[in-house]
Amino acid sequence: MNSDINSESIKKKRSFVFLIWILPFIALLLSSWMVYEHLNEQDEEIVVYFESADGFTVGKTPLKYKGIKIGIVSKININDNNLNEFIITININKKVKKIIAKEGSTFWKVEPKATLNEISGLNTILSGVYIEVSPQSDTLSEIYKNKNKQVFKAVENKPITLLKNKGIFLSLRAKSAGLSIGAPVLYKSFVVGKILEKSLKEDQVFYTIFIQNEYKHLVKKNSHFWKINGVDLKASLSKIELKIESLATLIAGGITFDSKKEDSPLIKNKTFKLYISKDEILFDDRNIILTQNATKGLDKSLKEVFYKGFVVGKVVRADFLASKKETDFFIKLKKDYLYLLEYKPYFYITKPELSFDNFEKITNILKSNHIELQVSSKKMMQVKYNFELHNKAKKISMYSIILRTNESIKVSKGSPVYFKDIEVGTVTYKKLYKKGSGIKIGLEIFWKYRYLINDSSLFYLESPIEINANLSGINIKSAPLKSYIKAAISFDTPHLKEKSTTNYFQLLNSRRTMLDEKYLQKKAERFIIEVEELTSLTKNDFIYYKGIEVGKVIRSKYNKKSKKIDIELFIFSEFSKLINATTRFYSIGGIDIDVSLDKINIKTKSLDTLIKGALSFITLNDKAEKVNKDYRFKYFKNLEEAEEKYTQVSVFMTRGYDLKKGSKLLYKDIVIGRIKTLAFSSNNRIKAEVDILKTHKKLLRKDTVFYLNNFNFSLSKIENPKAALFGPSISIIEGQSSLQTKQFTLLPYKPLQNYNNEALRIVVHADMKSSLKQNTPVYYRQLQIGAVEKYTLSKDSTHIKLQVLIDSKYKHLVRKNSIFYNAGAFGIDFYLFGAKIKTETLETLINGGLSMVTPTKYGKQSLSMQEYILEPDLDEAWLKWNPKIYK
Amino acid sequence: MNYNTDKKLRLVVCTHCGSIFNSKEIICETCNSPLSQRKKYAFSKTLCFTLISIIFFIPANVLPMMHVSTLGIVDSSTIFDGILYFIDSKSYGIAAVIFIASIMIPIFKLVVLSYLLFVVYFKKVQFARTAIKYFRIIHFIGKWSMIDIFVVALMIVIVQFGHLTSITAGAAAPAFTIVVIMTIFATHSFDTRLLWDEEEI
Repeated sequence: MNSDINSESIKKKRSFVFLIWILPFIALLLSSWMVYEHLNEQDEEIVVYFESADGFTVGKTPLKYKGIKIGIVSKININDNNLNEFIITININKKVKKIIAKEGSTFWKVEPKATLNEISGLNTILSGVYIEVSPQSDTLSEIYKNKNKQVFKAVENKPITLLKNKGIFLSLRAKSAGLSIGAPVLYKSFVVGKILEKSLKEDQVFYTIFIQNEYKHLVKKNSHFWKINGVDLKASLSKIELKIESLATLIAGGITFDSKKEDSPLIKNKTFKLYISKDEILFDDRNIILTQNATKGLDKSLKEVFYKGFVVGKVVRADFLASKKETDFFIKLKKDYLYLLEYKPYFYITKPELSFDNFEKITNILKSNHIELQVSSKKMMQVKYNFELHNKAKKISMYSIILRTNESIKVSKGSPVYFKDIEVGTVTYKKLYKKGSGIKIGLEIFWKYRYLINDSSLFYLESPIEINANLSGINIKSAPLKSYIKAAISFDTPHLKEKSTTNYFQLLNSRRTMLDEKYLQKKAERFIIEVEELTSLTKNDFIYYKGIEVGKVIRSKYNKKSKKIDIELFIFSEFSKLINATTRFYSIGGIDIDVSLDKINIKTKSLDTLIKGALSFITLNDKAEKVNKDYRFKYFKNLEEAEEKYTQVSVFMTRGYDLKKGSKLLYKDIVIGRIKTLAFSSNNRIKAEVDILKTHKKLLRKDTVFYLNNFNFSLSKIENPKAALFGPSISIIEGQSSLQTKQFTLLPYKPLQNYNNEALRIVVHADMKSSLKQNTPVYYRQLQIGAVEKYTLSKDSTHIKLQVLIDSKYKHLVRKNSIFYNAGAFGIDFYLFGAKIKTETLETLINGGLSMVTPTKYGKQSLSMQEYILEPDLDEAWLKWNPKIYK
Repeated sequence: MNYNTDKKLRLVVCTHCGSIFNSKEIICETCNSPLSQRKKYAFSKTLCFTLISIIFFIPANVLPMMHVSTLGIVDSSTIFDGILYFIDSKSYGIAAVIFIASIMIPIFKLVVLSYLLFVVYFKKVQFARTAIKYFRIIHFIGKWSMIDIFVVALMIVIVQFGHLTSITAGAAAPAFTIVVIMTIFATHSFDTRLLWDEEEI
């Protein structure tokens, strides 16, 4: 039974034991697998040679692949064969080793790097340097094709080939380095790549730049690459331009490029040229060598090449060849101006000339010395690249002219020649003619201005400033600045179509003479007028016809034959036909001022003629015959004269009365004539020749009275106030005689109104003149019947003789027994109880006057020149006389 | 040495309450625990667990216990590396603790277990008294053996500073855990009474 139980238990026991013994096996398997796994992951060694083991720590420095630690430095040894090399043993993960330990893998050290354009490996500051590895290819299958390798040599820097699939590599050729690796490549200031490498090959620097795939299309076949500096400071006198690209380029510089849209895309990789600056792109690559004989001071400061004021090139460098004693300037022209080489270019140095006659080139001072390029041919020529650098501008073919003058002039060699203020040539020489008969001046005119010169050309001496002032304005003509310092010659060609037959000209001494000459070239005819003396007519006085300028006075000369002066007139042909034998020339100069109290009428032709005087003419009869050349015209002083409107009368007077030439002759207050001349005549009288309009000829009767209108001021009245302002005038009172005369005597005062020959003229003797004077009225019953004509001292000087005119109307009142007394007498009688003031009228009190009384029993009528005594005082009794006198 | 075993006396003792019954009793009358003179397959079990423990003891020490990654650089360290690290950094106390807890004690346990098995298997009864002494020791320290795992677990939890520093458990950690657990199993499955059995009945 026991055995049964036992056997059963044994049976059970065995199965359990069997089961339980599985566990250790499982454990064994499990742990073996774990260990195996671990060991499988366990590192294997590879060896990398490094030139520097700086920062490597055994057991610490990791090997990384794209930032993942895949190994660790396990040993650092120095290479026994080359002490500069270190053998770094790296433990790497076995799995990774399959990928890494292949041919083509590259190892490099990553350490913190802070350069100007990038800070990299910053993580290594904390973690320490590490080694990075990169397999040759991106795909495992390709890597597996490579052979296994255990020993590697580290490279200096991260290999650029790593970027292969991320973008394109371009090679740039440059003259000099100066950009650091890592500097950005910009396109429109946008970073599209960077500089990966630079190397020096065959004296040229090659940059390898990387451009990211997404931007590679921006690079075109003819893209231009240029260097940018962070700060681009362009300072010129006109502006200062500061351009900062980006912060990175500010420090390290960079490369930027530019492509034309229409340019074909870059297919084949090519080496681009790296320009130093954007400006340089404009320049052609080829150097043009200018050779300068270095006889004089060598000028290294030449920098730019100008063509017509534009910068077309620059001087790249200058080499002095001591053996040849010459300097070679290497210049580059802008591509746009390269064609200039085809036109026989001529290079010369321009120096800033700080001479006073050369202000125009003052900009040269700012430009400093530079090379000027001239094109001296219009034909296309073979392009060449070697030229001589001249010191002076090329002489352009010139047209020579000889000028002659008699005056000494300040023009000298080099003086400019202007045409309308444009410099068209220069003076080449100044010589005396043989025997000193004149000065000969040689001019050279630029050939392109040759057409300006023909037979009508007028050369004249340019004066710096010519002020031509007349009433119509001040005309200041200033010559070019240069001529202020150096005298210059100008010319004008009135008729450009004229033939050119001579190169020999007279030099006129001023612009004015030139203008005169030019004037005379107009089509015109000449006439001569004859004058006694030259008066106001002078050369250049204009001739007007109906206010239009038709010519001018050109010459005046003494005619021996006629002993008169001949004045030659120049009248344009279109007006000359107006002139015939009846033409009368007259002066229109001066002012005709007609002044009256209410207005001043100033009449003048033109302000010009006011001062200068001018001529005009009228032709009385259009159909009269033409004149021949020698016909002498008469000259009239004014239009009236010329028209012969006037007749002349002689007026005699004892005194001048301030009358003068031009004083008016009035008839009923209308001007009908003027005094033409005033002169002494026989018996010490003054004879005035008076012009009277012919239309008033009938006024000149024998008994016509001429009298003086003079200003007369008295307490009672003011006469002729106009005369106070404008001087006296003469008035006439028409007579009735049928006889005509031309000889008159001037009355010094206005005759009484009804004055005529029938008036009674008597004489009154007065003790004192008192307030009596001419025109002092004579009253009868306070009615004016006459006036004092004149007063004189009696021959024996005992009294005053007053000649009194009594109006014919009232002459019957004057009787032989009539009494005259002084009405102006002012009497005050003093009585015991008062005073009695007596006077005739207030007027007489002020003005004085004569009163006449005739007794009731009057006598016979007074005779002419009957003499009376002026009673000094009034007798009361006279006032009671009451004669009844009938006419 | 003269003594009687329960087998000889045909008695059975309740391992729970210590009551003694006739060997034929199956259940303790006092506490209703199952009664058996010897634990079934105790020797085999212990041997088996010990073997597993020994087997896993190798990867536990060879494989890395912790992966310390600092700034992406992973530093794996085995238990022994850790001890060396602390010795290097002159933390001898910690080094000693780790050394004792992680190396000394497991080895000691395994040695003791092997010794017990040796004693039982070859019935070297004369060593039984010593053996039981050691057994009690390993039985006592058994529950403290996980200190190393505990440290690792704590570290993993505490040192998690993302990319800067982080600690992950290495392959040795589970191996070591198995070692410790298996030694505990082995200890528990061992029947000390076997030590005294001179011969098979």
